[in-house]
Amino acid sequence: MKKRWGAVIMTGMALLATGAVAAAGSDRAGHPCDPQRFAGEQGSDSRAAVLQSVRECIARDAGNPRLYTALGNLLLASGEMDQAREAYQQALILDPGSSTAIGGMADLLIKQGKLQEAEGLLKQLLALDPQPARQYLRLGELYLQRGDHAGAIEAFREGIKVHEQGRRSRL
Amino acid sequence: MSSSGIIRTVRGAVATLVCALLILVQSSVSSSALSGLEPGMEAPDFNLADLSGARQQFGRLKGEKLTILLFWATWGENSIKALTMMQSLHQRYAGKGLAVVGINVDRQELTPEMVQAIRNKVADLKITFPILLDQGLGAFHAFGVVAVPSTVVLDSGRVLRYELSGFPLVGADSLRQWVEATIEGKATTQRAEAPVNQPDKRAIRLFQMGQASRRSERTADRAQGWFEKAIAADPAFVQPYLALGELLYQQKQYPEARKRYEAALQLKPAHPLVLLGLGQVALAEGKDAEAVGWFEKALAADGSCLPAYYLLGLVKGKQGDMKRALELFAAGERMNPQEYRLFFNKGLMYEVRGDLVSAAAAYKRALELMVGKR
Repeated sequence: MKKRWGAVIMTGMALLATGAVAAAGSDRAGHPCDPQRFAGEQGSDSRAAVLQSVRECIARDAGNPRLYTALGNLLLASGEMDQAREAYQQALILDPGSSTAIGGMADLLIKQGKLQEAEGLLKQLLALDPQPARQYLRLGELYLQRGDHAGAIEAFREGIKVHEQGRRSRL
Repeated sequence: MSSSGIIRTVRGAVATLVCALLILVQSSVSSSALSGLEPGMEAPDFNLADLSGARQQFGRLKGEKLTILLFWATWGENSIKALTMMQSLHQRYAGKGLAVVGINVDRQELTPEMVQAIRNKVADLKITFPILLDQGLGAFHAFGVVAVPSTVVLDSGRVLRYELSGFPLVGADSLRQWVEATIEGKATTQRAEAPVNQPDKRAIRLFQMGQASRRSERTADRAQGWFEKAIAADPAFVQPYLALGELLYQQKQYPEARKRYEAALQLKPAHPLVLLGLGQVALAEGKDAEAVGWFEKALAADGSCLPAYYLLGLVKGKQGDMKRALELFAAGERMNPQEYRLFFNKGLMYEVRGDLVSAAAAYKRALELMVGKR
């Protein structure tokens, strides 16, 4: 299974690079199953309720990769590593180019202490993500976990720089 | 990122400091009082969602005589005071030509939980005027707001008549008196309705052409010409000097930038952005002692000038006065805990001091504020 999702990610990255990935799923802002509604920090009580909502949404819209990513994020925050991995894998099967799912998978690997594996994933994602500031944040956190403060500083500063450049070009 | 490329010594960190400053710190010039907007100029329109999700524009919400736009955030104590005062003005003058609109600027991106927290705050304070959500902070940047809260008063033609940065006690009282006098048609000893130096309309247009040119990579090189034409059209109009100073600073033409800021200083000796600009030029030229003087003057001119706090903090820290530096950063953080530039500059300061652990924590915080915590 591990090999399979690795291959899926690589395919996704190739698609991201060519811009061939179209947005999947029917995500309408304000819709009860808009994955954006499940983002953000939640307390443990509300997290359980949100988890239930996401699962209900998946039951209705099983082809939406963003819902699986949202599920993975919630499970990861709850410490349910194995289930989180399955959710990210499902998201990546549905949308191999999902940078949020790949990023979530990197978060999972960091939490599991698989730093080298996570670093490889993030570095590949950095080259392909059009808005890579969040990947630099992840990379910096990874270096901090490794005790490499100078590396973390460089990653965080690079993230700040690219985000600022992106913001200016959007103005 | 290869590990061999990672900067591992404090010396290396200091060498990159200038580069980092050029990338980021310079942008703080565009962030005190109102940047690019002053009384007599037409303000930008907005198209923002209210708390029910309906889109709103100035034309729909404006008052017959005046419209107050209050840029506020739930995390600011002064924002709450400002909302309370605006509610009393709204209750008193809503039927007499005054409209009040609150524009929430809590965060760059608002999650549904944050929007609910804003609704709760509005309900707690019994606010009955419209509250808009500035998702993406487009209006915040378009109006050139720096301090939160900031109050902008527009006439029915969307021309800026009064602005108040922060919510200082005396300034707030003056604002209230001016609004009351204007609505009731009474004379006031406070600021005149029209500014003394009403900018020339052609100069304003040329300045705005320059601002528009700067926003596009394709036309950015023409901006300087537009600003120079604006100065020629109205040599007493301070905004093009400021914009030109910032532009030249970004191009590392420090002596030229200094000239423009000094010209602006002749026109407005206590303008916080002018003082801040001169401080940044001095800082870039390695004249730390001079920079301290300008930043302190900017603070004296406008106690809500947030960039002056963190830039002064940076220089004080570089000079080894960590106690004062941390006081300044803490004061700035109380004013706006969401300002990533504050944490970026704090990171720079720690990096210069060789404290990589604290530097990494500060940079991390800056980046989290930019992209949002997961």
